[in-house]
Amino acid sequence: MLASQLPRGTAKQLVVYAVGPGYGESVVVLLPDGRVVVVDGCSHEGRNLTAQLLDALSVTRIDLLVVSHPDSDHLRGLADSIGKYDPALVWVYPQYVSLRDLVASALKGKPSAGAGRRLGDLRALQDALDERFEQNRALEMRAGTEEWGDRENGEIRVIAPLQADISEAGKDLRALARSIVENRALPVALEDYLDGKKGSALSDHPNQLSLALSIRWGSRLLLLAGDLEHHAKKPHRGWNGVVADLKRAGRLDRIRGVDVVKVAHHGSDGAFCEEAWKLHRESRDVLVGLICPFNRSGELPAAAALTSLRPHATNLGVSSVSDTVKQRLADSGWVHASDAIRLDTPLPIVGVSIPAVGSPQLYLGGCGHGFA
Amino acid sequence: MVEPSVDVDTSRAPGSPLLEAFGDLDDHLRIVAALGRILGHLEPDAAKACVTATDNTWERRRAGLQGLLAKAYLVQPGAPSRPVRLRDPDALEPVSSSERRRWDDAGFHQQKRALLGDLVDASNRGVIVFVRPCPTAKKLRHLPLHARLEDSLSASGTKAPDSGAALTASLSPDLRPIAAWLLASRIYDPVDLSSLLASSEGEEELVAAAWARLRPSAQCAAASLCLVRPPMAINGQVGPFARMEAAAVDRRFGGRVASAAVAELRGCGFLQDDPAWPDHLRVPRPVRRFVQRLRLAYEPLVQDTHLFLAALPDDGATQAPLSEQHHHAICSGDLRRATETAVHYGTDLRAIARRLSQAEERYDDAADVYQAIVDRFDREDAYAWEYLGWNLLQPFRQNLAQMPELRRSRILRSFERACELDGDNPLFRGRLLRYRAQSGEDIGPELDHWMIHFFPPSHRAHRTQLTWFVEPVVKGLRYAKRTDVADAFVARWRERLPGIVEAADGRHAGK
Repeated sequence: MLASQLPRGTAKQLVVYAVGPGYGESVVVLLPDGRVVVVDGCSHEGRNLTAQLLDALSVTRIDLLVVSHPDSDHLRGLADSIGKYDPALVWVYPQYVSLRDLVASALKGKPSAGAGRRLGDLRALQDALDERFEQNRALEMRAGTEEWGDRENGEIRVIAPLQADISEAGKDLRALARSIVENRALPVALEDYLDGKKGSALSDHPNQLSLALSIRWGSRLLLLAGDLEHHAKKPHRGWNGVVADLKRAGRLDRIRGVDVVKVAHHGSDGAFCEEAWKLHRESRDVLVGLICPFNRSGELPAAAALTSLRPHATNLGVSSVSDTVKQRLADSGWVHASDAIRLDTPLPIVGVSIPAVGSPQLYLGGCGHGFA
Repeated sequence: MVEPSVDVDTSRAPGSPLLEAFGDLDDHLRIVAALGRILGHLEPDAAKACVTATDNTWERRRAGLQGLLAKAYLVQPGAPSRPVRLRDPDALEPVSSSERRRWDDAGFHQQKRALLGDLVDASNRGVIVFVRPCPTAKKLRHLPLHARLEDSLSASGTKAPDSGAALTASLSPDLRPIAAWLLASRIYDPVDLSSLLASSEGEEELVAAAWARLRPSAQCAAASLCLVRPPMAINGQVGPFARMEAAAVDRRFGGRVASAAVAELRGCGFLQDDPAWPDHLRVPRPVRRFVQRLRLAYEPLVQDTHLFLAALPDDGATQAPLSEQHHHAICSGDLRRATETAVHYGTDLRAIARRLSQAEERYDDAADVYQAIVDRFDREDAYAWEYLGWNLLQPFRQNLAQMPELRRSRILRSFERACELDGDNPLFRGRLLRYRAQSGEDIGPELDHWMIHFFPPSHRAHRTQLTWFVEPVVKGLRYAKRTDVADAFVARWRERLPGIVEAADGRHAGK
């Protein structure tokens, strides 16, 4: 089935889109009352895909922009989008200010070309946000900070990261800042991190700081899991920590009985939390997972994660599918879904409309595929 | 032994001078100068010792202070001891190796420890030392004082909600207003704040959490305000930097700090009411430390503020705190102003000299600074003599033959003086020998003597120290085309010190 127009939020439905060409990820949520929430920015080959989607949806202003964490693949084009769509409110990941100050210090040194580019991405975003911080329209968020909206029209809460993750990252960032001041040179660990090298002392940090959102509309629940990882051996970190924290507060309803999950960290095995997914699936006949693949250094989604998702998600929407990912999906028992609706757009998106009553509907853009 | 008490009550003890010497981690020199002036007023005939205590040579200054402390506890029958009030023990606490300065590390910390030892010794003999604890009680345990914490400070600024009151009470007085603000503003609830404080850098994380909530304009204001070192109030005279009048902060900073930003900083606890001075503000130490580490991020604002503070005129009503202006001139790199304001000591001028030499290759200017240090401030500063010679040499190091005779003799005298003052320094001796070899002298017969001196058979030669001596010597011999002497020297010592081969090539020079 082909739809010529992209679904929009209406009084009777909430719509979520995930944009992901294979590198980069962004999410757009259209609330029933017309408000627009955007998470991160996605650009590919010089094209701001998030902006293209917003334009296709006739969006002229963003009500809430969420900058989930400082990884480059989530930031490209964001500075331009801020200028164009003038978000009324911006939520940023914790330690944003620490990283901003670190970047400003690091730029006084002489970074390598790769690190310099990533520093430049961060700096462009920071310049765009400075004015909003001055106007108190930008805030660092973490689990338990204020909510936005209301249940009738869409209420958004931050469920991650927890303070344990934030403090851990803060300690390392401050150590780097001291090193820069003492040595007047960019520390190797920071260079590696900015170059995106795995195994560096800071390589976990961006994901560790990732904001995860729980969006409630009436009885419907949407979970945007960011890039938060699991940390199987650390009970107070990552998804383990989220589940424990919500359990302690009597707030498991924020991740229990979910209709749509933007799967964490591009479907990596390290971000899959069995306990959390069991809760997501509770009392739900249909649970749609949205995945934006990551096609560099190892390629995601991982085969093990796709297998782990089988008992929990009934449908998967994958925004772009390489041959490797296609094979992994097949090996994990996922087959093409016949009831997904193809959109008349080349954009690498997958979308879900969540009605007030009834099952969610999966939509596929350009190179997106649906699986069941 | 009189047990000194830790007294946070800021009311004056009877008969005590109104004077609290604050300190900071890097200004024990300033503490001694201030203490000298304080104590010099206790006894009319202490003027001479007071001058000595403010003398620019560290050893003489320390000796003068010891004499003054000895006088401080001369007690008239029936009269109480003369107390000396000293604030901020952090200034005297030996710091960990991770916080060491890059230059003159060992000497710097030895001086601090010596000062602390003198004060403890004086307190043990009857001088009552009042110490205001800015850090938490657990930090006081590291100080060699028998301290009893009496906390009479009430939290200034925002009051914590009742649910957080116990949590904030466990913090040091400086941090309580910040914690209270985070709780009252609902930025944190007590559970989350507890979790934050439980981390290994909890106090620093607390400051960082509050910092993240400030608007950029308030952060910039803090970056300027935190450049001012903690106040030194001397016998009721207050330097222009010392106390920030709440109503005049923006004027004091020439409009660089907006009143709205000041209000925001007061609200969050980054600026606090000064308990000793009504209507004045202070920046608590943990905030100052945190913000100062961000100074690179806030260039060029920081540079501009240093220049401004260095240029502030003496307002005439108080004793001019030239040491503060000097400090800011050093930080800004303004050599002219730094030299003008270097009245009590020239040690800080080294920072500018190093910058001129290493970053800008202005060797003659750097040499002028070192010359000023040894002429005006410390004739026994071995480091200054050494680098006077070194900097005079640099423009001609590849062609000594072009060097004027007067310069040659200045260099030689400088290197020799450095070795006289610091006879156990292998680098200084190595460079002197190099220079003499390059000047045509036959240094061969002396080499074994110095090797035995620095690296006796009982001594396990550290390869860095070995390189410091051997590398310049060998280079000097090679320059003088005495490679045969160099090779023979290395060969002679190779069996006993195999590392000499690498040392000759400078492979373990270290940083």
